[in-house]
Amino acid sequence: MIETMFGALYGLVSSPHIMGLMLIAVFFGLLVGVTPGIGGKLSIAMAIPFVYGMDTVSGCVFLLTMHAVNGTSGQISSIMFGIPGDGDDAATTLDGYPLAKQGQAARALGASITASGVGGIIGAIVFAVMIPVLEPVIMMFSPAEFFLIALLGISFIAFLSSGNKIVKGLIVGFYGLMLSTVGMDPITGTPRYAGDMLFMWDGVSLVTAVLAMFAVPEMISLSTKGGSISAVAMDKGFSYKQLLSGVMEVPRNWWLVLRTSVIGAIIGMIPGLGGSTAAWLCYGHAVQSSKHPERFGKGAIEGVIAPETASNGKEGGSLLPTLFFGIPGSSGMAVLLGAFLILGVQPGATMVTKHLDLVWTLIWALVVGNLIAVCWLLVICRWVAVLTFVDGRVIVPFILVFVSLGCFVSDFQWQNLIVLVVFSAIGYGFLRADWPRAPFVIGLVLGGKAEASLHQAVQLWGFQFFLRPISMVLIAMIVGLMGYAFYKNFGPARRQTPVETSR
Amino acid sequence: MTAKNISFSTLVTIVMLLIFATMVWMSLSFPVKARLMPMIVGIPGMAFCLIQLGIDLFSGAKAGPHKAHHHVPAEAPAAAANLEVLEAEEELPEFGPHTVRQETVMWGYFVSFIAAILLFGFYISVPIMLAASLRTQAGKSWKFSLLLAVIATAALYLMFGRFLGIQLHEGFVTTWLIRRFEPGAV
Repeated sequence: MIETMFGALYGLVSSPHIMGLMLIAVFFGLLVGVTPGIGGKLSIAMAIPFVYGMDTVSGCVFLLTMHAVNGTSGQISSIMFGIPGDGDDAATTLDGYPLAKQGQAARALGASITASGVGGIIGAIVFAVMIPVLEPVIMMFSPAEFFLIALLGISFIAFLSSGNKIVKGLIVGFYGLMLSTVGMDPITGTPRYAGDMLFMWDGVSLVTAVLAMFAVPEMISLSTKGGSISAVAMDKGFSYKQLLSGVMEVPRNWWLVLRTSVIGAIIGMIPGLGGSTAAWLCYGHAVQSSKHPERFGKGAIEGVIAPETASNGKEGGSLLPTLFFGIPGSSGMAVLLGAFLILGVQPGATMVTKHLDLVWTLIWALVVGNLIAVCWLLVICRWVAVLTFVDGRVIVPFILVFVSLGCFVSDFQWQNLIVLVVFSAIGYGFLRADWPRAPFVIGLVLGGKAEASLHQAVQLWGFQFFLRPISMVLIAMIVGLMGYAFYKNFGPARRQTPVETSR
Repeated sequence: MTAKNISFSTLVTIVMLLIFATMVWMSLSFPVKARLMPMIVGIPGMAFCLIQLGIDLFSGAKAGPHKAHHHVPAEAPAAAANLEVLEAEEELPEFGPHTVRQETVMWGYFVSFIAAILLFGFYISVPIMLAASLRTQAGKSWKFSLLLAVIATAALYLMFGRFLGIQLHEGFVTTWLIRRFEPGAV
């Protein structure tokens, strides 16, 4: 284990090719994080065409690094202009913007960037610590359990991403599962829903479906709204001395940093609980554990540190269910998982038994990527903030070029462009009707594996596979979750406390 | 149940019901093993759609227009909840009658862009459509729009055509024209 661990680190840092790719990934990840309207999911989907031809390790490291550092730059607009780039950064605004108004923007930025980087590193460490603990658990799972895990994953995402719209979340998740059955049936060789269209025999292109579900609707929505993130002038009183004092706030609050990073990583391990949950929970924790809670909301530096460590710490945690169970920890991870599949990485027990070196490389990529991101961002954060002034309508046509390229290059089929338009209409319908879209990706990604596992389980045990002990535990979890979700949605109190902002 | 209860969300539910029903019906013609998964997924999918339709049509709470808001967990401090209230009060709904025109324009642009790629290929469609969008949608000058469009197309060609060696779709009309007028074709 130790040899694999440090061998992976050596392989990573001694390869100029991979380190060069990581530098590029960090640079673009930071830019994308601060640019209005482009989130982690979109950036991964757009980057997929560029990883074609790369070997598995390089491609995975490139995409993961880009995804991991995305959130590190997102807080810039929250602190400097009081406008959160996305839901994850909303908690940072509460104390970050008051600090900026007091002329301490650089201090808040220094603290948040460093906290974010440290959170990402601690998240990766938590993931690494969990590997030996989880190994025997993963090995206990048979095809029957993997089928039920797929259903559990969809149920989790449907519940947690849709809050009081559980039925809509389930419809979208099952729609993703349904689309995964398009193409050649792996058992009988029957072309399902494909007819004479040969390009559909391989199934719906995952890249096309993801781009149609997220990128196109978001871009049309961004263009409809227009404008940039920020219309506020930039603070003139920016000093690097103040930035350094902000950096030093992180070691000064090391105990809070450690606690919130670990909480973030653990939340990341639970599929569907997004970064915003981690950020808000840890903000609440910082308030509750503070000796002076009255300072929060008025410019407490702990109010900047806690949500940032948590939201980046969750990235390491969410990699765990993604790689070992094939259940993406978040919708961003779902897109990343799709990209991993394209690169030839098959999640599941084999990640522990055969590809542990790749797992360790990815863990180190999280650590090194975050270190590079912090160093870069501390130097260039002032200039990166300028991107928040870019008008969304200037960005949209360029993104649509990327989208069409990604869609075509994924299979080199022009027909994918027509599929893109059709699915985009459905994706836009979901966005406009305020339906959750994350369950769709989970359904589509897990569908193939779920079907294969179902057939294997039926062959091995017949339909009695439901009676296996672990299967029954999983069924009980699904039933319990659904019961709770329906009670929350339709129960007498009908409390509405959804926990995820991303759709 | 009144016509007022039929919102955009209800229409989406009906579309989803039709999709599930069609796919389940089509799966009846597959061999037993091939239709197992579509049935296992499609029938509950239809059931969920019917439940959602029931909720939409028979509950008094009509799904309102989509608003941009941050849901705040119970654990978040009161200040966070105030943020949500302020946002909800100040912002217009994200979608509504006031956005229909811009949405139609953007959809028109997107579909035209894809059609242009299919007919004329990436290297012809990208600069034309980029320049057109920057000029008409973003309100930039023709000079600036054309400059950005040319730079983007050049970057596209260098990245995909040269560096990655990927042949992008050339377009049906472009290919036909090249074949029609290439030396020796006549």
